Amino acid sequence: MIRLENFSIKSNTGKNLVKDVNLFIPSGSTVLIIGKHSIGKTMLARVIGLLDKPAGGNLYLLGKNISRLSRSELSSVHNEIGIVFQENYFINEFDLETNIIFPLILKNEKKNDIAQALRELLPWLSLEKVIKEKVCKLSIAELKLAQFARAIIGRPRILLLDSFFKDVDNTIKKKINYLILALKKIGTTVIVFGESSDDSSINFNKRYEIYNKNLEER
Amino acid sequence: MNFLKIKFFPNKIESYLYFCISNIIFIIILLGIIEQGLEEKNKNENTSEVMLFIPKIYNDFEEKRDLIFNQLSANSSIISVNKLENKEVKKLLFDILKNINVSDDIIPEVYDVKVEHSKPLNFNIINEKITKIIDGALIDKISNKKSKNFISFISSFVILIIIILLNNFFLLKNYLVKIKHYINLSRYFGVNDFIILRNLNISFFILLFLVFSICYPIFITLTDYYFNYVLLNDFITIYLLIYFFYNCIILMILSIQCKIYMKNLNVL
Repeated sequence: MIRLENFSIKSNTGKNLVKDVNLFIPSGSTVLIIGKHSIGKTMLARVIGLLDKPAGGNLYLLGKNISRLSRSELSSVHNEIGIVFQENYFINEFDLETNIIFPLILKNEKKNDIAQALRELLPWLSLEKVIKEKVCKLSIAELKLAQFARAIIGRPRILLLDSFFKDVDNTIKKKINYLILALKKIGTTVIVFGESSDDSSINFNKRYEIYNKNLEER
Repeated sequence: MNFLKIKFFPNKIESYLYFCISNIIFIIILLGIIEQGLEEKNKNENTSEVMLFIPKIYNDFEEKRDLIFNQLSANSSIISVNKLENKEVKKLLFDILKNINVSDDIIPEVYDVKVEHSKPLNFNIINEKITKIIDGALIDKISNKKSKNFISFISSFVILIIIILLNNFFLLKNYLVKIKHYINLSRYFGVNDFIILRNLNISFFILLFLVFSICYPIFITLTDYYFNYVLLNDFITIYLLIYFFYNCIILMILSIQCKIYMKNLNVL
């Protein structure tokens, strides 16, 4: 579960984006957070994804107050988070397959388990044909899907998708919805950050909008 | 899919090659300096810098010079006596003579006397005896040469160490910048900092092992075939010691830099 308590975030220039927000997102729920361009969605995703610090208040992830955690304890919480970035963030020297699985390799997961996870995941995302390609040769949509694959291959308990569905076609969206449903069943909390809520292919439990520096339920 | 490459060598091969080649060159130079310094030290320990001066006289010079040598040969401390060429003597006197052209006849004969370190010479007694044979003949200890060699050894050693440290400092810094995304993404997906640090240390330990394995035959070949130089008996021990300290220093630089780099990468 995720809990925000008097939670505030600021932009890199110091402007308040979200102020004194209290929110509780239970385990296994799917939440959509929308807002206009540059309103703070990406910053919110980064803070919940433990890439940035909140400007104020407390953030509880999986029952732990992150401001009180040491670096190694933060690593164990990171381990439970899968994140899809707005920009396609990859290592150009590696092929697509390595980019998807290298965090698992570093975490000493078994070769067979990694191979099996890949075998199960790739057909769903239609990435089998390009799996051995260098990332610089792939389309934006393929890279988005590869990011999604990298985020969920470790079976995270929190999945953050920042502007994910923008470049993905409807067939793939449906497949992803199935994957999200499967993740929900194992207790994964999914938060999608986007600009509009007109997407009906995903079943969200709750929808929020960043409005007036607050998170308002829609 | 090469798990070892992903774990330990995530960057392009060029950066590892550059690290290896530059370190091979520096280690060979370092070995040369250390080997020469130790050789010099051993020489100085076994023998002392003693010089014999015999002024040239016109009457029976050669017979009297032989008498001096007979006197010296009776002394068990003296190992050998080697004559210095007139050119070398002039070179030694250069500071005093500057551009004055001096005839060879007035330059004394100078001999380099090798003396056993464990048996010091009594210069007063010997000088008393040899001045009776040729007036003005003198045997004495010269310390100038030894200190000069030592200073040049220390200065070249220190300069090289500074160059090695700077080279590796910037190479490793550059390396960490190049694998920034790798480190960042690893951390974002829950890889512990300790694992990243450990893997990097293992990879550079392997590289240094390779570097030292390549350096050894190259150094032996260079000294044997090109410089015709006989290595010290305990060269292997010295080599292993250098390997140990080199490893410790490079891995320490890597670990400190990596820790600082990871701390600055993101606020959390």
